[in-house]
Amino acid sequence: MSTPVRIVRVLPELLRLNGSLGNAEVLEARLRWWGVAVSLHDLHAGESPPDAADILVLGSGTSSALETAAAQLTLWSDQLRYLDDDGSLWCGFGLGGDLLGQEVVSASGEQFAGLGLTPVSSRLGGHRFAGEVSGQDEQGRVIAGYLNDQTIRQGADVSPLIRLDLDAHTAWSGHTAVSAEGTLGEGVGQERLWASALSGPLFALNPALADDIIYTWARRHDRTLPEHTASHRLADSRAEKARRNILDRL
Amino acid sequence: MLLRLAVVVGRLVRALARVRGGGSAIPGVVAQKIDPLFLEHTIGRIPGGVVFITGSNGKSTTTAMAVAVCRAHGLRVFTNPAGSNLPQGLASAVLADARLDGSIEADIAILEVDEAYGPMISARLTPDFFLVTNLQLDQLNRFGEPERVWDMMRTVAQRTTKELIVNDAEPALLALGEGLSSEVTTQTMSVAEHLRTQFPEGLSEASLGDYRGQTTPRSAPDLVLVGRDADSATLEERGGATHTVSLPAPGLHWAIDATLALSLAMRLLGPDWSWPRAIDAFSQLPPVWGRAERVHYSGRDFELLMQKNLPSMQVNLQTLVQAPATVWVAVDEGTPDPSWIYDLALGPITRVDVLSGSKAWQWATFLAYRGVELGEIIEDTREAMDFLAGLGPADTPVTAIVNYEQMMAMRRIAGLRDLETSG
Repeated sequence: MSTPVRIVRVLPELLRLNGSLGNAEVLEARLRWWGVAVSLHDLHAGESPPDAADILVLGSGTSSALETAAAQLTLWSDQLRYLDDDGSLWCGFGLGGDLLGQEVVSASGEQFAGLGLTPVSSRLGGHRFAGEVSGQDEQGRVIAGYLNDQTIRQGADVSPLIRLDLDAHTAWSGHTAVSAEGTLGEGVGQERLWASALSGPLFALNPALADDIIYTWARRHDRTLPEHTASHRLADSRAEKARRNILDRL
Repeated sequence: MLLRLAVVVGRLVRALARVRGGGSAIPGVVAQKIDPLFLEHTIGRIPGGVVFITGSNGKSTTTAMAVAVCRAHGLRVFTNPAGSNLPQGLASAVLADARLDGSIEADIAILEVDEAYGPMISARLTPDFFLVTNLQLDQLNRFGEPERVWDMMRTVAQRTTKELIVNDAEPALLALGEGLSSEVTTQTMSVAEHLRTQFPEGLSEASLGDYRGQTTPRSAPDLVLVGRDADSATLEERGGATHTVSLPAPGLHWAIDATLALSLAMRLLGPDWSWPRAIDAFSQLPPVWGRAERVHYSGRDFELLMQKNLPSMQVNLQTLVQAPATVWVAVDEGTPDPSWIYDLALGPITRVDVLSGSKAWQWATFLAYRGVELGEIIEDTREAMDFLAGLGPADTPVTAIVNYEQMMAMRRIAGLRDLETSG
């Protein structure tokens, strides 16, 4: 019997806005559909991080959560860096993704250190964008979802997770890159880290991203995953239609 | 002169709109175009002043309850219909009730006010009393985050002249009362600890992560909700006496709305307050529009269960004690981002018979992850209703989990046109 995949939801009492922890649910369900055991662990403020974790998920949060969440992550920074050195995978959404970066500055100018796992620095405020969006990931796969974000993000040499079909004139300050073609890049995609500002269950609508994470985990553990099961195919066919509906509306 | 013209033209537009079967806000827009101080010249002249009721959820219910109790005591109350809570909605309500000179035969105005428009409306009509039902996660596509809604509520609180009334189970609402002028007091109601533990979904307050989430009450509550069953709420006064009022539907949130409404009415009525009258008023409350309501179509009842936002849908789902016979979920562009469904506990629902609306496939994806069986996807609302009318046992209603826009659509399809029923 192999060890279960350890998914840790970090500060779920603060970082869970708008279905963003649904992404952990999607990872868990897809692993289980493959017959892979999963242990889901919630890491609350005041507790000690686990000694080992395969995937850490930080959901989105509101501005008033920043100070408390950042302070707690700073307290845990040694243990969390140990997990990172140990090869853990990271997923961050909205504020959770920003806290994986260099720093997050509140709207009133207070600076809070991030975990330093991405080159992005964030500041709450700026031009807000709220609406459905589409784009492509690094592999050219179509991505669709809902972007509801009011953050300023900056960072050198950021590899975005999604290249949005939004041009550089779009009134939104939360992009992490601008492509040579003048379109906006969103989030961060690194070898072991996936961060996005897209709302809620990005992975449910775009299961290929969830599978990227799961396949990365499988490679690291020399596990071979079979073909998609009927449950995967059912969820993915519905997600494809949901994405198509979004594309049709745009 | 402008006011009289605004009333006359507004009424003409209103009559035309009603003939066409809708457009309740347009007459109010026209009246305010003619007289930009229309609200000040009408509602602003009601002698007993103005009460604002706002919040993420329950403002229509709480307003209806407070109005009913005050009217049962003989108070003449001007109010706006459920959901008509923007300036144009208020103006349209005035057109329904005002004399040609713009005067309104009322002692007091008790108004349901949209939280985002609270600052704008309170700049025109100064509230004497300000009741906030709750602050919950709602319309994030519109507000971004609840902190922004708190700021709007705070603006109204700072303009209030007498009393702020809130539920002391919500620290963020208590924080609204911090640092107000000394003439303004914060009055509270409370929910007994055992009810908070037993029905946590009944509160579902937005937890603000800073000092606003830590604020504690400074005074004892006027009323404490100490008991609740399927159709009644029991309240305890400061002196220890208890009273039971009937509720229009089960759910702790209804009981909290009732307690807030009674706290407000007690404050407004002062020495004229009578529990027997209040209890009698509650026994005669009609169902609140769109909540706990049935719509009849093609020989079948459709029981509405609103999916306005996460907290309201969660409390509505908690009222289901067993799996409904037939379940219909309909959600469209009125819910631009349904991501929050991933935070839902679906309770006894193990099968959805029909999904409708433009967001149906997002719901279908969600159901796949929850392992909930799905029957059909019929995107068109009318086609779905026709199909559902003949599905499942005819003597049990279809449980219609619909967003506001789909509720409006199904009401139109069912031939209901009461879009401007005055309170």
